[in-house]
Amino acid sequence: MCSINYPMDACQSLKEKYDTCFNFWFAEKFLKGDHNDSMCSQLLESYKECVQKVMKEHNINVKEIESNDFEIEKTSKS
Amino acid sequence: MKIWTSEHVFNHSWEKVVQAAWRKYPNPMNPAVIGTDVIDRKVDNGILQTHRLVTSEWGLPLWARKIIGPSGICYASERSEVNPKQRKMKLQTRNLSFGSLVAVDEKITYEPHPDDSSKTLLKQEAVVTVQGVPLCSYVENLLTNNISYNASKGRQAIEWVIGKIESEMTDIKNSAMKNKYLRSYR
Repeated sequence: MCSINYPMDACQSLKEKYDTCFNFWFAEKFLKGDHNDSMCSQLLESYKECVQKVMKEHNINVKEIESNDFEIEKTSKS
Repeated sequence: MKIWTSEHVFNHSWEKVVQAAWRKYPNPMNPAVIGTDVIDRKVDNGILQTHRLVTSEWGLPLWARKIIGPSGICYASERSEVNPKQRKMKLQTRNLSFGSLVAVDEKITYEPHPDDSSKTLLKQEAVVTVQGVPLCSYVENLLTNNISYNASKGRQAIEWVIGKIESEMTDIKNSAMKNKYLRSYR
């Protein structure tokens, strides 16, 4: 699963656009109690699509290693 | 199996530290991490849940490469939750690239310091497991030392990102002031 080139370079410009939106949303909306995440959702969709395509092309599989003991403990939702 | 734990206090608010945590990479202190890409992200019940692919370059010595595999670009899976109501961020990372031979699991939490909520407490834990490899404990020690070294670099990186965010804010403020000033003299 190791290679020489960095495959995710293909998604770099989509990542930058999404990250800029997310950083603003996280600081100015989410941390201030506004949980509506529609602001960056379209940018996230195109970026995610790119990431998933690259992962498929390079056989990067995150599911096969994830056993049950690796599930993040759920934060109590009080 | 080898467990490594560490705690650190940041003299910054939780809000500031978790913003920096998202923007931690790339940074000059951890050049091995070359990418963090979102696989999935959603807000569920007020909690931000994120799954990311972490890409890094492992510079392992030649003999280790012969046992573990070629060094080069390797991947890890990172799952995280941010609960803004409880002011808690948790991250859990597992390497994908060494298959069943070597497992490195890392857990990180960021919470306000129990004695001073204007400060942030970082708790970090790593479990390294090497199976069926000769010189087992030697490899574990090597990886644990690597984690310890990278963790201290990681804390410096958070400070570096906070500095960057603050200077961005100053820039925005300055340019806003400048525009206001220019407008009033137009």
